[in-house]
Order: sequence, then C-alpha cells, then structure tokens
Amino acid sequence: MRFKATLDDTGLRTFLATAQCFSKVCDECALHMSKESFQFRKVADAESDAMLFATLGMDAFTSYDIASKADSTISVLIKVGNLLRAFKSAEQSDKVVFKLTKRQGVPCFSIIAETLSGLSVTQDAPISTFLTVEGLYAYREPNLRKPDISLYSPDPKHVRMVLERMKLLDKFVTLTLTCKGTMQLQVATEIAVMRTKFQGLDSPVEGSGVGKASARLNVTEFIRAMQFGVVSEYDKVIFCIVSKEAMIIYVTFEDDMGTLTYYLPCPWEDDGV
Amino acid sequence: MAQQRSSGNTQQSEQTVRSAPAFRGTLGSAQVLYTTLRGISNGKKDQHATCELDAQGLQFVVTDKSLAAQGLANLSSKLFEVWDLCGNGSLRFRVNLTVLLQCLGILGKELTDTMLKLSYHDDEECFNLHLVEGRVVTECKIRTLFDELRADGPVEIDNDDHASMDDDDNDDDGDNDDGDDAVRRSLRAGARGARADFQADFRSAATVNRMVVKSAQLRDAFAELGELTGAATVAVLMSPKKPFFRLSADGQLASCSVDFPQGDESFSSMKCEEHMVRTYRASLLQLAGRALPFADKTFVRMNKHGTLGLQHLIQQSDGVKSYVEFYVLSDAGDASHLDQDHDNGEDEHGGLTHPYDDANSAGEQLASPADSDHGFEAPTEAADPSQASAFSSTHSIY
Repeated sequence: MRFKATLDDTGLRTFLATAQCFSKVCDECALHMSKESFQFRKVADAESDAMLFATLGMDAFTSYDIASKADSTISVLIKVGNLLRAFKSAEQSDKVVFKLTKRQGVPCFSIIAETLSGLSVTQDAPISTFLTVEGLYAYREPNLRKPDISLYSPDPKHVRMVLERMKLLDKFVTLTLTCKGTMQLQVATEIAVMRTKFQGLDSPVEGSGVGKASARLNVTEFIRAMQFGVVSEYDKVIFCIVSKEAMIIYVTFEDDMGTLTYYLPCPWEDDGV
Repeated sequence: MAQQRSSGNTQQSEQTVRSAPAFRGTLGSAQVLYTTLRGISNGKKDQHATCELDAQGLQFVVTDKSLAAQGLANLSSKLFEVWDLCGNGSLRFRVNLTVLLQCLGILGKELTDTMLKLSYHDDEECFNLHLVEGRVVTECKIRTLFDELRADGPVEIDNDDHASMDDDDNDDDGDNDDGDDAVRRSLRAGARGARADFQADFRSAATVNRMVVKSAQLRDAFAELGELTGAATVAVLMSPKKPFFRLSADGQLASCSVDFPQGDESFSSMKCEEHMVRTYRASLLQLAGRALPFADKTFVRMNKHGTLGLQHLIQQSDGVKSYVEFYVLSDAGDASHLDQDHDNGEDEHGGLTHPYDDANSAGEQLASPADSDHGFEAPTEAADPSQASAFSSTHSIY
C-alpha cells in the first residue's frame, strides 16, 4: 500500500483546522483515505455520544496518490494529538508532503515541510492500528431520516457565547428551529428561564416541512461542536434537527475544500417551547 | 391595563402577560445596568441582591454575609426611556444577582447596542428581562424572593473576627474606641427587623475625613494589596497631614504600602479633620473596589466610627452616569500599631481642614443636587433604618 499527498498553504490550513476540530472532541479518530477523498471519523465513545465526520476532497490537495489491495482505500486509527502536532510544525510552510511510511517497523504518517529558513523538517505521527473493512464499519455515519428542519446558523460566535452563558445555569439546553427562520436556545432551572431567539435565518431547503422541531442537547457537547468556528475558515453552517434522534451541524469549508458534519444525539422526548 | 388571561396552551412559544406588570422599564442600552451591577457582584453563585424601585430610580443592595459590608448600585429613573411603576410607587424584591448578570451578559460584555426592557409581575413573582440586539432577542425570567422587612441574606456571623458581635457579655476586646460593636449590634438588630441600612448608619456618625480619588489610581492600589499573600486586613489611613491617604497591608512574607501624596493630581477636594487609621478585612475591601475598573472617580469617606464609605461614579461612553456605593465596617481592634507616622499626643488640625459642619460645608461631591443627571436627589427626610422605603436618596451634602 502507498499513500502520498501534498498540500499547499490553503489546503494545509483546512487540514489543520479539521484536525483541530477533532482534537476538541476526541483523542483518537479513524482516517479513511480513498481515491475520492480523505476522511476523518469520530463515533460515540465512552466520553461522548457526539459523532464527527470530515471529508476533504481532492481540491484540498495539490497532489494525491493512493494505492492498496483494498480497492485503493486505506483506513487507520490515529491519535489526533500526534497528527496535529506533526502538522502544526508545518504551519508556516507553503508546501507539505505527507505520506505513509514505516519508522523502525512502526507505520506512521510522515509530514515533511520546508521551514521559512530553508530547513526541511520531518515529523512522524504513529498510526495506532490499520482498520479492516469490518473495523471501519464501526466508524460509519449514522443512517438518519431526512431532517425535520434545516436552517442556516446564525454567527457561530454568538451561538457559542450564548451557550457559554447558558452552561452556567444548567447542563441541558433546548434548541428549537422553526420554518419561519428562527432558532431558539432555552435553558430552564428553578431559579430562572433564559431564552435566546435568533431571527431572520434562511433555510437551505425549499418547502415548508414541519413547522418546528426541538432537540434537548448537552450544552458542553454543543459548545465543543461549535469550536469549529474558532479554528476554521468556514463557508456555510447549517443546523438540522431530526426529531428525537439527533441535531446535525453541517459545515462547509471555503473554496469547496471539504465538509464537517457533527451529530449530537438527542433522544429525549421534547415538547418544544 | 388588563390583558387577556392566557388559555394555558402549552404549545405557545410566546409568553402571554396575565396582568399589568407592577413595573416596566426600558433602557436604550443595557450597558449601564450591566456595568453598575458588576460593581456590586462578588461572583458567587448564590449572591442575592435586594432590588428597590421607586420614582427616583432603582437600587440593588447586597450585604456581605459577614454583615460588615454593604454595596449599593443606583440607577436613576431618568436614565430609562420608559419608567412605569404602578401601585404605591415602590417595589421591592430579592433576586439572584449572579443569575441576573448572566442573563444581562448573554451576548457578551459589550451591551451598548443592546436594548433592555425590564418588568416585574406581582402574580408571577418574576423579574423579567428582554434584551434585543439586532435580530437576536433574549428573554429571561428570574424567580424573585419576597423581601419585606427581612434582612439581606442570612444573618450569619463570622465568629472569627467579629466575635464581639455575638456575645454581649463576652466583651474581650477591651475598649473599642469607635463604637464599631455598637454599630454592628444595631445593624444586626435592625437586620432582623428590616434591611440593615448601612448608608443611614454611616451618616449617623459625623464624617471625619473625605476625599475624591481617581478610580484608576485606587484600582492600582487595590491591585497591589490584592497580590499580597496572606494579608487578611488592610489599613486605611486618612489624615490632614502626611501621608494624607495610605493603604497598607502585611502579608505572610512581605508587606505593602501605597501612598497618595497631597499635591498629586490623583485626588482632589481632600478634607480631613482628624488623623485616622482603621483596618478592614481585605476581602471586603476588594469587594468594595469591584467597581473601580469601570469608575472614573471615587469619593472616599471615613466617619467617626471608622466605617469606610466608597462611592464610585461610573460614566458610560454616552455620558450616562450611575453610582456604586460600598460601606465597610472597620475591624474591631486598635490599628495604631500600623500607624508609623502618627505622632501620638499631638493635636492634628493642620493641613486642609475646614470647619466641620455636616449641613453647610460645600465641597466637591460626586452627585451635587444641581446635577440632574445623577441618581441622587438631596435628602428630604432623615433616613430611618426601619423604613422599608426604597432608594434612600442619601447623598452626602456638606
């Protein structure tokens, strides 16, 4: 098997941002590389039920070469921290090469970058395990029905700020989206009820669908998911609710380089407000 | 203006008002309320404030659990675009101040573009906030507690350094020359019957020393003292002679002393009658200085009992003024050992002294009656601690 790709500075930024988003929600994630895309995958684990999937298309790379017996796909488990560290050292470079190698018998990703001063630096990120097709199956995106409501998110910065305040009041927040283009976050305790409504939001989907939908979410998980706003240059952000199943945050990176999808499960009954 | 009762439809997303609110107020910018309230906040989850509303404005009062310090935040009703208070003209309730600040600050600390509507409904016993910034609307309903003739906060005494308060018989602190104990006992007794009125108690004794200081300088001084580990008390010196105004504290490993020398443009209108040095619990003094980062000027006063009064003037970028006052009772005990410069036995009447006359002496004060923008009016009646009236408009007139 072989894998070798190069990234220019914009591709590198996107790659780094993606790795950072993952580092905020997990220690280890799956990487699935194919001829069409480079994917990061995180599924529910002991610490959190949230799932995160990122897909970088060929536009993110200046060159890309992959070959394997498994239909030219390679899947691995890797500690995100290692990958992040390796790529961070290349942050200032114009060009980064990363490829699958073996160092002293240990398979790893080698990240080779040229520093501003002209030095060539190689960092290795060891791979935890290779995943078989069966192994990869555990890291698949959930199969959900079509969302009840989808809206373009308000400024993620504002959403995060509101959530941070609400976190001080209670562990859970109720998110409600309406087809009239409003998004409401509400937290309620014995002492106070706090409700913030964002209005005038557009919908990416034509047609009315259901009037509104609500999801009861863990505030901390929600805030962690919204961290993408801090680390990446995003283009569009869409919030969706699949009632009683999950809330989805769908982010597209700029220049069509890729997408990020968060799934925050919300199985509880919710009457909405 | 009566409104229709809601039909109890739980699917409604809008709150339906069931009866006319006892109070409605609108502020073009929530910034002034947010900043002023931060000046009395101690950051603790369970901090409650008594909110008192009357025609003059609103006042939030917090009393420290030790009953040795009280903070008041005042906003004049003139700052509000809408001020609508029904009933007998005054309203009073207790609310969790920390939750209130969390609600106000929901969209961040910059609230100049955030419009705020406040209301209070008797039947719901909730203090409601409605904040609008652009297309984002936040509504909060905070449950209030009834506060009529009850003390602010539980009447808990910290037995370690205010022991004299508990035991009338166990008077082991020797002669207390400033009547602190008497003050505290009366406050405590008053506290059981009504809200302890530190303002009134402060005025009940002559103000001996006063000066106006730049808040920024005082903040620096507090910061210096705050960094001293192990300093439980801070000594405040106010004198007609050098060093005029000094703050000092002894920590575990080091001590620190900050002087504000006369002639420095940092303070003006100093009028000190008598050389006084008193100590205060460092934690309470830091609380009293919470508003310093937001304030322009601070009026510092010490009365005959050694109680310290700090009145901070907070001014927003658009000129809107509000006030935060703090009264801190001095620690029982003799502080003269901290007073190195004082020459015992000499009569101190030098320097900038004026004939002391509470009613007549003029001088700079932060809120003169002529200034119609402020929240204080000239007092029209003696403040009575047992009165439940809101907003004791007690400004210090000299």
